[in-house]
Amino acid sequence: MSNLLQPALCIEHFEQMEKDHLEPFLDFCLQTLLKSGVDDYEMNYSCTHSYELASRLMTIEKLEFEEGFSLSVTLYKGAKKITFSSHGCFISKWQEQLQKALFFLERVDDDPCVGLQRGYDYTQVPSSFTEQFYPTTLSYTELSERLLHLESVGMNHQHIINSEGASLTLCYELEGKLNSKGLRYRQLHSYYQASVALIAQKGDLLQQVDSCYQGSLSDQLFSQLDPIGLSAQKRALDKLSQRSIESGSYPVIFSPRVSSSVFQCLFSALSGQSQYKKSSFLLGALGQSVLPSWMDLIHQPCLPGAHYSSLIDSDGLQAQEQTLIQSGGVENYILSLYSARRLGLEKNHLAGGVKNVFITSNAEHQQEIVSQFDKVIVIEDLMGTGVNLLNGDYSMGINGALYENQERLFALKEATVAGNLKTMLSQVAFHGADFLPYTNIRSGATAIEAMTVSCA
Amino acid sequence: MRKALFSSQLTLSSLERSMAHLARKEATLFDIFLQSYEHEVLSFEESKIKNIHLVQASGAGFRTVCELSTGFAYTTSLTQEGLDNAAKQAASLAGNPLAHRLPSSYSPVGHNVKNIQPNPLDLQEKVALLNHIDSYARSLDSDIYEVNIQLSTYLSHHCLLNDLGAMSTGARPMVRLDLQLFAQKGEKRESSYVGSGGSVCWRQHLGESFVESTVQEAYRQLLVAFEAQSAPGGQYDLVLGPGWPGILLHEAVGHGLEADFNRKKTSVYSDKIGQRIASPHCTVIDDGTLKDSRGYVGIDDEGIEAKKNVLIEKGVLKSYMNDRQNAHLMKAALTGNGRRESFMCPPMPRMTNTYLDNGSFEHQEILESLKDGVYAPNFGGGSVDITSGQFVFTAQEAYRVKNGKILYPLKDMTIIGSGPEVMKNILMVGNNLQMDPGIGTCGKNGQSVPVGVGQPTVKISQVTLGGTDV
Repeated sequence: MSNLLQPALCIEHFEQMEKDHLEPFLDFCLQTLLKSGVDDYEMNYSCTHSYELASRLMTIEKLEFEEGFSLSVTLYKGAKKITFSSHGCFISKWQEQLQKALFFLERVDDDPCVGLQRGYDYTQVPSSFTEQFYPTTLSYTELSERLLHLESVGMNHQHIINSEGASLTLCYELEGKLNSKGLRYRQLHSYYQASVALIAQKGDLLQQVDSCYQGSLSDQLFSQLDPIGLSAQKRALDKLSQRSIESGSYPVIFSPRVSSSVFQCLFSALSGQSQYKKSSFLLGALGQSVLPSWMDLIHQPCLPGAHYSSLIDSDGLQAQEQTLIQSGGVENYILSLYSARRLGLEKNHLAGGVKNVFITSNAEHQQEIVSQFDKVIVIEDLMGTGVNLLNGDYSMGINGALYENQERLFALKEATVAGNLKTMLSQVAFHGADFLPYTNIRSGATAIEAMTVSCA
Repeated sequence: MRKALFSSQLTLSSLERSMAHLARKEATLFDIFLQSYEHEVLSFEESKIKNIHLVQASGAGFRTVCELSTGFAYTTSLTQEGLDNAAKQAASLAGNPLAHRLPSSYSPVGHNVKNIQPNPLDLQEKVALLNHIDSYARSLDSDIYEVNIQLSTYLSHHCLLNDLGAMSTGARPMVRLDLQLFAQKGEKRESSYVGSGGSVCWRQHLGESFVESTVQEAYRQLLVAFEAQSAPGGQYDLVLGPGWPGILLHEAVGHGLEADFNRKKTSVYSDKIGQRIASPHCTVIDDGTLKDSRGYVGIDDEGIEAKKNVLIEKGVLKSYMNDRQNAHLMKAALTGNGRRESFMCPPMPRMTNTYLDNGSFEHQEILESLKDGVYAPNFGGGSVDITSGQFVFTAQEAYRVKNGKILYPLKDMTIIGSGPEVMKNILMVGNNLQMDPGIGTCGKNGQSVPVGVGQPTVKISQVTLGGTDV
């Protein structure tokens, strides 16, 4: 970056990296694998070009530039499988790894469920997906101005006394998948993210920090930074004046920022792996009711303009729209080829997890849901790791607030929320349409009828 | 080490040549971190090798610091052109590209070398070991329906050159074994987890006595899980067992004492050197020199010798943990805590092995003093908000205690509190210091590094517990 006025990420350089380094390396790897004596193989590769600029208190403090390649290869021979991966395009090191992998492959135990999909025409899978790529022309100088503006908007309040900093991240990523049965898939996407974390203090009250971040496929995000700065400011200020409440059972609302984590627990419990390993609190739930009957969850993997979209699943099968939950009942487990075979079920093109999940809503937004309760706890952030997916026990630290008669009274001091996921999911009372646009699981504010809240 | 890092295309001279693009006169400091690592993970499930995953990475990270500003770039393209481009990117913020202060030569500053070469023939021995663990575990109870074992071995070689003319080279091994048991008794299913590891060769760590004690401990925890009842919610006195519950310290005070947060005054412990921030029973140490431990550093990732740093002495704050940039900005002595996850990341202040030093009480004495509370000898993970000092973690094994007697086990209990308040409310510290079994991984700003934690038995008054029994 010898010229601060040139685009921070250079598309020509990225394309040159692909042409001069990645393509010859991949060709070499493919030719070598053809002669290696394995029955089948899969290759996943990525080429990343990214740039992060960070500031604090109106000074540019960090410039991080990343340029890297990674390649992961899975080899199959009979009923055996092994995976190896490398970062960088080093032919000699890759060859050493391949030899080691071939040695190990002979000694791995047989597993009749491994392998590519037999009888599937991988050549019919679309070969390219570039509709998520929006290159930027923003230079270091322009980015710096916008970054400093983001932080200054957030700091413009008498009770915002410090900043952990703001950052803008730009990324181009090329991902691809090949296999021995003719799959050739390449996906190019861009990603832009803005974030800021601010510290509030008032009088002798303990200082509090909070943040806001947002992502997008397009650099237009960097022209709309004010709401991000103001949101971080509000979140930090709202955490001041924390008070305790009596520990007990309360209705709770998971705000849009954290509600997807509850549904992610659902999908983890419905994964094929957790089913065949018998490590799910929803064991054998196919066809059973897990959510209220008004709720559907739809997986839309190919949605145009969505960050997580892909035309294939992680097994290389063509992605398909799926109904995961219908009228509250489980229609599909989240299956890979391997877990489908283990469970004796049909493949359903969901390998690698869910993408762009839409959830039925029965309310517009969080405020409408708050109005349904005399007294309710709104959870604004979650802390900790207290989720047991085997039995569904759930116990997490929270940053939240007590609402009474639709009015936010105060933030809670040292609060936790506890319950059981199976019960929580069956007791979803309301779900809002106010999901955050850049998320994978598009869940809005989600109210659970009752959970145990403990406070200091 | 040279064979692992260098080749006919990439030599020490290549690094020195790229240093010319990095070595700006206006820079406070600059360095190149070249690394090559291999990581092997054996997954053993259903009484067989389920998967073997091999990872290899090689690359170089370039950093230039000008007072508050840091420029960083990494590349996996280890040609002269690739190195030079990355060096230029990293030096972008550092002023005049034509003014240099290149070191005239490089001198070794210490060599963390362990003569360990990965040997594929190791696989037979590893598989035999995992088979032994599996069959021994299943022999303990016919209700055990699954045994998951993961054996992870890692070996990294690195070479650092910096503006001081230092050349630091090293080889770091790491081993980790994770064991999970799953059992079903009637309609109820439970699991347990035990892990162990260190900065050593796997053979050194995984001997015969290790197998028996590890499996028996996992089985003991499994039986406890079947008896566990709902945890109480509210404020209770808490006794923490020795060893891994030292994660309390890590979250409650450790992160808050990393120098970058204190330099920015975003930590609850900022500007408190010389002040009492904890109970007089507390002396807290961070020590990167504990050989073979998971948090062992030796020479840190900036070429600075690791030390045994007393952070808190009898409740009084003595020192923060810093890296070169923050030590310079705060005009403080170097502590050897500059660590990075890999060549893909710039270093920053990180903990190594952080522990609470011994007190004078016997373990039983502390337990018997607990009138109405919880005893927690085992923990899961945790996190902290360093600005407010609020921390959260999950107790993996805990017991309800009344009048000094253990009543029954509790399940999946969350503990939440304020670091400064908890440190001041430590009432009793035992004389049975233990370090954790070598499984700690600490996350900060998107980087993970291996760490150790430890403590003796400790009693704390009035901590908030998150359970369903209120």
